[in-house]
Amino acid sequence: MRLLLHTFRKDSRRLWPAVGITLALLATLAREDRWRADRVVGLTEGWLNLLLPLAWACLIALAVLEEPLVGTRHFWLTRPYRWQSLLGAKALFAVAYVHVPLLVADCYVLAARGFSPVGAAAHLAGRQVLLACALSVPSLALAAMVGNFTQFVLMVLALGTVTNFFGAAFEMGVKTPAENWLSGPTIAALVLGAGLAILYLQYRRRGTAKARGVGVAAALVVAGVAMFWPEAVENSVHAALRPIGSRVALQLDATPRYPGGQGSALSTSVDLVIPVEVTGLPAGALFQVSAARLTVTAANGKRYENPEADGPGNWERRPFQGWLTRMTPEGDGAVLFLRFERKEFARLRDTKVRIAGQALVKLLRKTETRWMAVGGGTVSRELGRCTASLVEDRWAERVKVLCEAAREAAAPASVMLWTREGQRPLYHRLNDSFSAVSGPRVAWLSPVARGTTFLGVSRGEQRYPGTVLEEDLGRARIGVMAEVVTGYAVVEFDFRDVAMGKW
Amino acid sequence: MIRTEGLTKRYRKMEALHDLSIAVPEGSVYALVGPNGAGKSTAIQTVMNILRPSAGRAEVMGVDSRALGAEELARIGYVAESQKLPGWMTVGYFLAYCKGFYPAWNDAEAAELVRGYGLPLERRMQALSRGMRVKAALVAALAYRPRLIVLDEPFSGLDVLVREELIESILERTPEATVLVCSHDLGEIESFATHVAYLNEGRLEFAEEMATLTERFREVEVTLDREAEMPRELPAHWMNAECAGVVARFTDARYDAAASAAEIARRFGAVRGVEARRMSFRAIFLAMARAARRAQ
Repeated sequence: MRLLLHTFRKDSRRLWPAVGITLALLATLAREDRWRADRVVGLTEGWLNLLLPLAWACLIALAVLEEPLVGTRHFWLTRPYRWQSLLGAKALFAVAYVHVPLLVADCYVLAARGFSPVGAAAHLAGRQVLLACALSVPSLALAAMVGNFTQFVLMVLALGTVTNFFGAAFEMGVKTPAENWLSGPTIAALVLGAGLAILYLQYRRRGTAKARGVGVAAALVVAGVAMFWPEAVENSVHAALRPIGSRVALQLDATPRYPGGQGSALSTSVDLVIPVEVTGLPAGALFQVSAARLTVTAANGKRYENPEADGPGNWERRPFQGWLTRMTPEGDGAVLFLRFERKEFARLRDTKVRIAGQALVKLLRKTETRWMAVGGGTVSRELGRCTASLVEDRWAERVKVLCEAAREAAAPASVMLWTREGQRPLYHRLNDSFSAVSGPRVAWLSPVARGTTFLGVSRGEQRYPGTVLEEDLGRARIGVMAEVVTGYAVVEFDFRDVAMGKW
Repeated sequence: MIRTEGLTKRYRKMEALHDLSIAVPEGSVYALVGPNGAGKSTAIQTVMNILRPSAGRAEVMGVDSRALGAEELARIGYVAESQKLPGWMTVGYFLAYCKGFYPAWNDAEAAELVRGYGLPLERRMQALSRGMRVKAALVAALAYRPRLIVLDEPFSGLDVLVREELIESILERTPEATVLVCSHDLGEIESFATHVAYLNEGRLEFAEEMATLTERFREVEVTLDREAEMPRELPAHWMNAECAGVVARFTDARYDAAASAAEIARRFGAVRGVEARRMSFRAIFLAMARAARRAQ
């Protein structure tokens, strides 16, 4: 312990300017976060959310590289360091100058936003574990495998580029984090395990070749999991753990209800919207449906497959894309949305095809509606503290609904604005707002999950669709309802002889 | 104090050290010499567990070199020419930092060395001259009176005066310590080494006490009555044999007055005179290196 502190004090003395920079960045971020009353982060906060992790990674690397583990010329190699003390000193450095400051900043932001840090202890502990898995341990391990800081920076840039590539590919599927709760922890466990193994190999034995082998193998496995983790596995686990308990099936609805998009002659694609009925669910149940696998087989045997079948994310030209979704949040129906390249569709128009695949059906429960007036607030267990206020942007006044909770992500929720009997309420979804200003918008360092939506306000005689009259605001009631998933079902579907020209 | 058995270090296909077996007796000053790329530093780094041996083993103070830990390193002082010292530290902080690792650190000893070497405590290591950096490293390696001092070409590039000063201080302050040193400076080796091992292309050519080495090497000059002609077959221990006029010269690596005289008579017949001169270690080293080059 004495040698651990001896080395730690030396590193602190050496690296205090770098520590000061990261603390200043964190203080700025906490200040920005403290005042933010929106889901979308400002540019400063967005950039800080990107720069601060990089600064932390560099700080940890600088500490590790005070006693580099690669090379034969470093003075410390022949000094009586104990590997446990040396590794402990570096870990203590990361804890003291990365983890503890983040914890303090989290407590500050939570308290400033009106949440009890003690009440959010489990959330804060989870964030510390996440930080260790995502940043501290990987940075320690990577720095332990390189000979100098330049190599570390180049490796971080390379990994960042690759991750960005995989991340972009990942985003094409428009998957929500909740649906990847199995692959996420798997990746975290892989990174943590590989990082600890590398640290042991390097600090105990200085086995750089083996450590690098572990690092490369772990990177490949993590990339494989991120890219090719079968969604069917996630779905099956969901369905096994929380089964819906009734026999759910998908059936083709023979009546065309929605107009397909043959588009103009200039359009390169043709859209088909095929109604699908989800049966076996309790009457009036709220549900979501998505396709994990979707294959269209033409009469001549040609198969059209969409590997990313669960969302309209891929806008580049492809012969075929398809997904399964609800057309509206309410109602019983779902639709199969098929998009063919025009020349492909020309071959299929007068034929019958087979559409088969696997779907995930999620049964949802809306929580009790919590009501509030404009200018008031309410508290929901699922959504945290919600407020409704009249705000003015550069174009118009709007009613802003903000829900904040001391957790990682805001729960999905619908927002309803009711004004008077006989008047159709306005429906919005929390987090349906976005920023049109380009720039980094991630807020993963914030301890507060925020969800917002904006309801338009019309002034004077004319009421625009989807807005509320300013004069009605006084009596308006705003209801928030979280949507909680209560069960899952994995459904295989196989629709034969589907006439393509009909839709 | 140090023993190696079949110590071998390979870098992919290149063998930097081949089957090195030496024993460094306790209390000796053991010099590893050889031309550039002979494997001297590789041998020392393998002994110090900086490098892992590809084959064979080394034992330091009774411990396998691969298991050298903090306890053993606390009794070893190591200074190398190529060592990267923390340039951001002042000399004073460097010594204070090193002190934390050595229970046997002697402040008075360190202060005396600092004074003797004229080290500026407030100056950063990176601002020191090479000689001063070596001195600082030496203070940090001697202030705890190590049992074993390992020096890997520490004095190369330093002026003669500084070298003498440093060597003297090492020998004076740690008379009971064993010293393993590798160096190019043959003059300096001869002045204080008790044992010497000669490495060439990673292989050990010989290892013995300095006294027996200088005793068995002679530069022999044979003067004949006629034009000298070197006999066809010479003993293996006659090296660098050459003739000039009536004189034949060679280096005898196994000189024995009576036996060598008999051998000369057998090879050359009647001779007018034989002169056998003692050789400095430098001359021996050069003769060995020249012979090795000729053999190639």
